[in-house]
Amino acid sequence: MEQARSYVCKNCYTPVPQGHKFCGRCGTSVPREIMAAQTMLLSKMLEPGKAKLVVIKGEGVSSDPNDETVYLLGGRQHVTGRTQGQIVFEKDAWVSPRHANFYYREDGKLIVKDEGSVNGVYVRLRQPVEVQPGDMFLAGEQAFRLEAAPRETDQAEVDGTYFYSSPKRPASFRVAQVLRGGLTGMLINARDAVSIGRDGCDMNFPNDAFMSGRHCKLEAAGSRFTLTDTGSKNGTYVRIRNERELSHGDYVFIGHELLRVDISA
Amino acid sequence: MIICPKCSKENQDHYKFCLGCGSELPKDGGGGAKPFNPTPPAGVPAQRPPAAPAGPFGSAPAAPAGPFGAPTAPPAGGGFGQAPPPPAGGGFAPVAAPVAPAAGGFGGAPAAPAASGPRFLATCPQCSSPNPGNKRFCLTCGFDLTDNSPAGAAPPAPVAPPVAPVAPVAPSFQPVAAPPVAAPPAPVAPPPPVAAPPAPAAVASAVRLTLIRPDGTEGGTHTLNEGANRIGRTTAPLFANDAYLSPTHATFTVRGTSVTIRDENSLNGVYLRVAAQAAIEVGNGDVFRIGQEILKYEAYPPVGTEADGTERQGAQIEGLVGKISLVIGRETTGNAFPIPVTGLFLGRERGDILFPEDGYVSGLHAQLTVAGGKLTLTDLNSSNGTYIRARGERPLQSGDLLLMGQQLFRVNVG
Repeated sequence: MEQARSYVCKNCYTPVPQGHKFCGRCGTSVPREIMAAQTMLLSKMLEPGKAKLVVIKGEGVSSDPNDETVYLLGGRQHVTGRTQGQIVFEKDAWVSPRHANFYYREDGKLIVKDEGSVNGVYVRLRQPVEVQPGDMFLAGEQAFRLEAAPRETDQAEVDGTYFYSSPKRPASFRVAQVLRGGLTGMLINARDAVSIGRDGCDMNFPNDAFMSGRHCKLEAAGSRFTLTDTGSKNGTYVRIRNERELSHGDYVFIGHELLRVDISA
Repeated sequence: MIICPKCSKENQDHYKFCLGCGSELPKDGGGGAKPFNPTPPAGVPAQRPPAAPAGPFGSAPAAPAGPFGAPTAPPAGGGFGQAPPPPAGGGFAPVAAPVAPAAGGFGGAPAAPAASGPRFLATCPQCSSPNPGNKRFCLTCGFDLTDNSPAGAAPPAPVAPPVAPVAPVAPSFQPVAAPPVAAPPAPVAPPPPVAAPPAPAAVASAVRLTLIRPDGTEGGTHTLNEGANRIGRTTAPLFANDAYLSPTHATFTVRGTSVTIRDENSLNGVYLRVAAQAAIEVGNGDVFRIGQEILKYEAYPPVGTEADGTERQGAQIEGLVGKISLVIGRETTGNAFPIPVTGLFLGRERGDILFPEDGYVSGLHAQLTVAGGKLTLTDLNSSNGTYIRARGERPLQSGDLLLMGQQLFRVNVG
């Protein structure tokens, strides 16, 4: 006893070998869906070397930890934005209409490119990074900007009147907390270093549940600035300039969306 | 450092209770605990008077620069590292210099103590500069070096301001005898009768400005005339020594016994002391001062979005009304802190925002409160007070204290 190895004619019950359009016994045509049949690709299967983005926080994250929202990066490029592209976060006001592009370089490496977004793309620090005045970074639910020391404007008037300044300490840089809408919140001037955390630091955010006790620090050496994550739980993220290569296990912030990069071996 | 006898935790010298276990700490913690330094009263330097370099106009970094003294005088000793600004190329000479004291021209000055002729202090009590013994005025700052101490043995008393010699020329100005440091404030020689103001057509009013010196004693007074009085560095001797005053700084307008002040776009403004425990409304852009710290309030505008509908990313702004920034230049601010709707306390040692290096800020100094969408500032019985920068025309009451330049004045009516 064996199974008929191919399509069985619905008129005369004769097996029709694959590729034949008509039944050899009765001439009845083979239906189109049988002719066009092809293997469906399981959408979550990936080719080796291709990546997927797992949404850790943000749109589409359900309360069930087993129910992951995953974006497969199976094509060559994958634009993400609030209104455009393949990966759309339509409810996130921090995502620009066209925000970023995840694409594969010729050598097969995954690259994330800021497509001129308002808020930029942030990647989690794996080791201390060098930053420059103007650079932004995230820690906990806070956003920060490294700024150069302000220009001094406390010289005497031409008429000889002195400017009465508050006592000031020499500063080589400062760190500004950036609030929603781009406003400046806390602003700390420093000469050598600024530590950021929930408690006991130079900038403290006791009400930020995602901020570690000692989260990160910025250090100045001459005109070079280094941002270091000091063992935080949720990471410190620095805004990329233009584009950056990603590797397995990287975390990327786009607006409110925190994405983990998984690259299959 | 006090080591807790119970749990061995190290505590700061002024703590009464252990940070580690809460038990009461011994008063004299092992190893010569330093006494707790309370806020010095108005005028008394917080720590030791800094051995100040000679300031351009004497009063700038000098020892007696009290809470109203030069901002450049670091009370905590080098904390700020701000050098006093160099003199701006001799914008004007110290006031004493040009006043050639004619014989007997010191009518207003206190009588010389001894018959053997006047004695002069060798070290200027204002700027600490050494001077040859025969100089009446400090070579550096123009301070009057006449020694008024009774026996000459007492420490150099703060003397009448250098403007004293000019007194006879300016009828509206009465020099005040300088009391020794320890004396109660203002046992002033009765002012000469103002009855006969000579030539000028201006009619003296019942309103006077009395200089309060850094040690709390009274300096000279300036009687305002009926009508508008423009006050500044170039207008009257009492103000001439203060390089932080604009040439024309403010206008006082006297109508009978009512008086108002208007800041004439001066560089450093006019600050009025607020009553303790009274909530004063602070608006967007208002500037206030505690100790040596000048703070500016800016309210947060509503959060907007970019043209494409994207909102700028950042920390939560809900629950914040604005921020206070330390003013360190015309357009430069130093550290800044957002103000939550739950308010903030300001102090040297206690509060949310601390000024540990400013000895003129009280331990707990002032409070910012938000109520009904408005921010108010309350002085919490601080030693040296809280001052708010005057905007527009402000009425003054007798007894009001105001800061102009680096000097403190009291308004007296009647």
